[in-house]
Amino acid sequence: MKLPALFLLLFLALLTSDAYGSLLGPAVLVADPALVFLAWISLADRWPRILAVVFGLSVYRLTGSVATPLEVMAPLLVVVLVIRVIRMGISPFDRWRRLGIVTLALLTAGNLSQWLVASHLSRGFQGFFADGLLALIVAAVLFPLLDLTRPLLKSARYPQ
Amino acid sequence: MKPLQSAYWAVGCWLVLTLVAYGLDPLFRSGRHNSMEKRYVDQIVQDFEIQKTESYAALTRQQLIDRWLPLANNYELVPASLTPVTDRSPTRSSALLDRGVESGLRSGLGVVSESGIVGRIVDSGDGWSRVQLADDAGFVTPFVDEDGSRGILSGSLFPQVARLKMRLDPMTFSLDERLFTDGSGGIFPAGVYLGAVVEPRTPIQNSKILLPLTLGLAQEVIVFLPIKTGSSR
Repeated sequence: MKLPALFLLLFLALLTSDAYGSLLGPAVLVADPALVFLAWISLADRWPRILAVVFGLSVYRLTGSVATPLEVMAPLLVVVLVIRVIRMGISPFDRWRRLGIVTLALLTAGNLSQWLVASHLSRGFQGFFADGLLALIVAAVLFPLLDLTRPLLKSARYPQ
Repeated sequence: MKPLQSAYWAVGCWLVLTLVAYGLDPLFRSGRHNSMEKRYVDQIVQDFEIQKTESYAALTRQQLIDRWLPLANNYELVPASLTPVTDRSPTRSSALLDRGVESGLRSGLGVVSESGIVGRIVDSGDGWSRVQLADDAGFVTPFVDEDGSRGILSGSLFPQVARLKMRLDPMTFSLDERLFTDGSGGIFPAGVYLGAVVEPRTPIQNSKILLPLTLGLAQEVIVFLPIKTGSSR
């Protein structure tokens, strides 16, 4: 396993999440670059590496935060599970279909996260669709960049 | 270009885009002085800032205690310095105090500044405490308005903004209505300023309440430590 390269990409994803977090505002619940990276790994990679990313993200977010373990872990697990379930029926190697899968997973995780933190702060249908659009845009920007880095993760199976 | 080269280029571009977001351009503008000059100037500025901060902190602590003492009949007041930090969970809002269990601080205690509410301690250690700021989405506190009506206020997903979580009556806010703690819950005494309604809306839950503007800034704060029954202050 190419773990150093994997953790380098995870570090970059966390750095991006930190840098663009204030710019994204509440939409970071669904368009968090670190979650997008986890979604990309979950699409076509192997379970040990997916679990390594979940572990890395969880440890980073749980130390130095007021967030509870449930609130940190639940969205990560939801992203992984939703993607792994949908990819059984829809090809994760198609460039357009995978964006649909990831957007759905991010929306589910983001809404679960909001429900866990503060269920009374829902932003209605408009907010839901705006979040979906933003998640799609962030995934569409990050995925080509992540696809270019795939030679660093030699054992991964990504679209050619 | 070979695939591996492309990969390294992609990582490099990604890193650059991230650093751009951090706004590092002031670093590139420096460099007109040599390193000795810069070190000398930095030393002088640091010494001056340390002296100023120490005298200012002592003054502010005494002023803070004088300000909150009349309200805090059943509380011991513990002064501390608050340092803003970026919470690692992107939707949460927290800060650190320079005092912890050695001063009797523990989870659940209320923190205020000169301007009003700051938050609540959620974790403590030796020489540090982590504070959940009042604009954190998970922060909740009971309030009373200027007419004596009660309700429950919560933080939000936006900095320095709070939302109404629950209120039975009346179901409207007026503009610039000020909200205070009602003393229930044993975390804050009654009369601590929470915020003002800057955008009254219908339904009332959508109203925007602006918390004290100094909420997440580095500042001197007071922690309310409840006095145990039977002990003297």
